[in-house]
Amino acid sequence: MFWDKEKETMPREGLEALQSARLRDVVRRAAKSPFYKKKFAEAGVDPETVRGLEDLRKLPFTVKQDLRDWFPYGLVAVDMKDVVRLHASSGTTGKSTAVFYSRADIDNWADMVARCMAMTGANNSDVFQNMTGYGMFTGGLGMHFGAERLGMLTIPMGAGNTKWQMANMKMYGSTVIHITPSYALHLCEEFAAEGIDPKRDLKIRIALVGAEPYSEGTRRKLEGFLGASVFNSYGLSEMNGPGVAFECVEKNGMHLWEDHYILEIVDPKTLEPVAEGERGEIVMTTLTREAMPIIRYRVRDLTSILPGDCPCGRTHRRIDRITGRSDDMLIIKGVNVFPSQIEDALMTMTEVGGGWQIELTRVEGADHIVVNVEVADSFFRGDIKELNRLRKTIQGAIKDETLVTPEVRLVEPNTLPRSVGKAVRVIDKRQI
Amino acid sequence: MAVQAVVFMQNMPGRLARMTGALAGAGVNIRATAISSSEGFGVAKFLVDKPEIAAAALKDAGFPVALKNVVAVKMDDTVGGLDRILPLLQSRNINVEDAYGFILERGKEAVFVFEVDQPEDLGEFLSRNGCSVMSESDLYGL
Repeated sequence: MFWDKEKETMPREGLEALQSARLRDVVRRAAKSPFYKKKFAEAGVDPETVRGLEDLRKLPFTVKQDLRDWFPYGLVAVDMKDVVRLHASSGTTGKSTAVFYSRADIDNWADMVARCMAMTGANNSDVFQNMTGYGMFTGGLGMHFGAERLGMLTIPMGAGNTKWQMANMKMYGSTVIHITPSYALHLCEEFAAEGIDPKRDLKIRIALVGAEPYSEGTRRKLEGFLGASVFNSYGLSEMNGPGVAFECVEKNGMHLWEDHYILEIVDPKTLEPVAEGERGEIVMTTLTREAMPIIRYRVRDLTSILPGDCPCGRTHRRIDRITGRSDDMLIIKGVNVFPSQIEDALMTMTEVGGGWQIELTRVEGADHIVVNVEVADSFFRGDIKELNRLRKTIQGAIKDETLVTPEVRLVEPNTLPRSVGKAVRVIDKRQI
Repeated sequence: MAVQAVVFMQNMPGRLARMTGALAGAGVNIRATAISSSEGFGVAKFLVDKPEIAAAALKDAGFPVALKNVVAVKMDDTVGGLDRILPLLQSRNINVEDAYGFILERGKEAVFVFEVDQPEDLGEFLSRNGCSVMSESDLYGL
């Protein structure tokens, strides 16, 4: 099913000509932001001389630290009266990033999400239950606007409240859901506990599953239990949010919308392009974004471009499942967390001794984060209540910084492993 | 004022043995001990003959240690022994944070050790009211 067949099946030559024209335009528009004005000048790039794709590699990369350094408005390239929304990552101590949208940006985003949904077979007769978080995260609202654009009856549930989720599925006969893999696995257990067999009692036929990495095994498990077709989704807030790339019914890689983004895969060390089909780091350029254009953004997700044409007829290239990161970012319950954020939160507290470690596990299908923290010798005054207050304080500080609530365990000083140079800060025991 | 050594530890096998090993190695005699645990960690309390030496030995063994003031009261090991002391605390609205007791001689003498929220003049108050509050030398020399 196509939402915009002309664009989705555009011959490569035409698509690349469109990219060239749009790149020329976006570079000139980006240069109006304080950040790119400076960035281009430093890189010796005159935006007026950029002709098209052939000049792409002359343009400097943009990294997440740039977004932090120029937070909040440094990358905004339009008059603030034309900005209508922001989404932001968590963080209160200099690690925040925010993304801004004009009316046209929201419109384009909804259109891309509608394309993704139509590609899976969803249509305006469907009842769509959106089960990811609304608010500052892009997952909820991004999918919401796309679903309405497609014409689905949209139930803006958000995440959690499992009993109500199940009741709504029954009452309204939801046929399409959007959910994270960990929540989906949890939901399956809840169904079983309530004696609900989704295949018999519910009408779910399509599950759009994303925001966290998951395996083919998880997909098969969910499909078997829900009796629904599960589609993998890819997106990131810097590039709008969900809807950047999505699986079609072939379920062999995710089509990335190349009329809105330039896709590059580079070697994370040399930053040179890899050969087609080889794994590397995704680099993306927004082509149509007005409020906050981003040029050659190092996404840090590792994947490859699948060679060959897709039988579905779409010409937009497919990326493989994300297999990792070229930095230390963690995805916990769908939230992006950097170990440095946890370190920042801990180091504001004098009671903390220096050693700390994150342990990630999956408990009943959901991510569980434990932060082990060494108690400083000097802090301990022999009071168990004081220690429990400290646990709560640490938990609150990490939650404020990352929006993820950890289990905090206090440990003795000098007991956590330290390797020479870089300490082993993260133990990820999650099976994806 | 008398003190006991209070030690932070992780709630896992072998931690107490490490502490008693450190104390034995330093020639410290343990009079009484109490352990409480919370979420994943615990606090061990040692009433010993040489608190300063005990604290140093436990610190050397890697544990955070604090010396905490305690009030130790000697009492009859008979029915109602403890009941003569606690109403006195109640009368002054003193809250017992932690406490434990041990018997010195069966049927004759027992000791009750308190950690209270306002320990400063508690010993004097209890003495005035007929309790046998132990001095530091009494307690360490048991």
